[in-house]
Amino acid sequence: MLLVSVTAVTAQHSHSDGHDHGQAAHHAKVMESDNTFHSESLYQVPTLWMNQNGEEVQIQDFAGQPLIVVMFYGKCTETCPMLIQRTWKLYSSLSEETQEKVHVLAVSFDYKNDTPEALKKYAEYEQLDLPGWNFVTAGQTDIRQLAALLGVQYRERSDGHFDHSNLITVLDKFGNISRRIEGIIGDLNDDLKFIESLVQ
Amino acid sequence: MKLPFKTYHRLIPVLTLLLLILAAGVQAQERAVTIPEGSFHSVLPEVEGEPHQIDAFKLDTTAVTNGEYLQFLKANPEWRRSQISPLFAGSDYLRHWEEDLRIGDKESPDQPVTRVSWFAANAYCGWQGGRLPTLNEWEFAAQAMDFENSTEANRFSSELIGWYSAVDTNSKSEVGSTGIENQYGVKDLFGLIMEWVEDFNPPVADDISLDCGTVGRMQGDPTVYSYAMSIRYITRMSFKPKSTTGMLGFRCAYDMSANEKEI
Repeated sequence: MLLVSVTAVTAQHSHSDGHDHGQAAHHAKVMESDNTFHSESLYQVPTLWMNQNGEEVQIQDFAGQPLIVVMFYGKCTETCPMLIQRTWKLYSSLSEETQEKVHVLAVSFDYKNDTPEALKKYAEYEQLDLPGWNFVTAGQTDIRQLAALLGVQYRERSDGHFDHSNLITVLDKFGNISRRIEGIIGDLNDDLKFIESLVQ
Repeated sequence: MKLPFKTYHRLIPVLTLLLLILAAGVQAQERAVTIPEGSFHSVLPEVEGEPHQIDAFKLDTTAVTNGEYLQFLKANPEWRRSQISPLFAGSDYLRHWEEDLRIGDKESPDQPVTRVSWFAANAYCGWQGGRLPTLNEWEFAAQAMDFENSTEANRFSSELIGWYSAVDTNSKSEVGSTGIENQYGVKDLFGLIMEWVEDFNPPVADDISLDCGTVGRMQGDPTVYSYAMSIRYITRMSFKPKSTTGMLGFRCAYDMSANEKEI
């Protein structure tokens, strides 16, 4: 068991090293004085998310594979089902092989109401309680930090609903933001090709 | 620039008492004060007719200083200038400091720390057992000002607008020095620096964006700060979470249940 986890950590390191070379020119000065992990990879986000099955999930758990990230809230009856459905359309249009390698992280803004139990019900209602799909929650600060990193704007209104951006983000297998899919309409062909290319 | 403030003579007995307490060696001064629950109207569109409800919370009386931030960096090496990840701050992060753990000659330990990203501000407040105030909390605290009369209030507002249009990042004074204080004892909410809030960049639909027209319309609003407030909202919205400018600092807020760390 110990051996397995050590291997996993080593594997992550080699990924991040691979990425650091790409950033090296940019941060050469910093790198000289210090060898710590310097990149814009979201694997640095330390948040422990809780998914619809009550399991803890970190973004770096998905190292080595692309990750589709979407932010939503469960109470939403207007655009959110459309955004979640669009995420499903994107995911389900990928080849079966790719689907096995791509995960989805659906993060709720509504930390007060979207408990793991509520997220479970939501996932079941949307028929998306699938392997590879994580509907997650965390503390307010953690959610806000991820939104800031992704460029998702949201605001809770006084009626308990949220105004928010409609954005699907694709992380590459190093945790870098590699594609932003904005809005809830439009064809996804280019996005699909892009994700397929990420797993090659 | 000098802003109008409460008359000093009323404070003299209080100040004298404080000095006596300090002289007695008692550390009675609290870092944060309680802002009681209430409601207010912001310049952002709301659900019709409903003001924003604010639960009671605690807010630092002053902005976080260079000296305080230095303590944070000593305990948290990953936020030092040479160590911070480019994920969490722009390249100007703490640029004006001499070294990682040396403020240097350009600034004093009692000046508010600036050139800190939103991520760094968040981390500092978390380390203190708190968080950044929400936009509504900050604005609610900022509205809690006592004025003798409406003339004074209007004069304050117009001077504030002047300040916003020319924030001078090269001549920041020390925290607590503006003489501006809300009714709960929170200092320098105006006249010193711009401050990070948790949700500095709320989504605003195109048709209700806070453009100049909106600002113009706000002038007719009965609340004293609407116009200055609009300028403040617009300025905040231009920030990116990695922004590290010389005018941007922060203070922390705490839930009523939280035990803020002793300093």
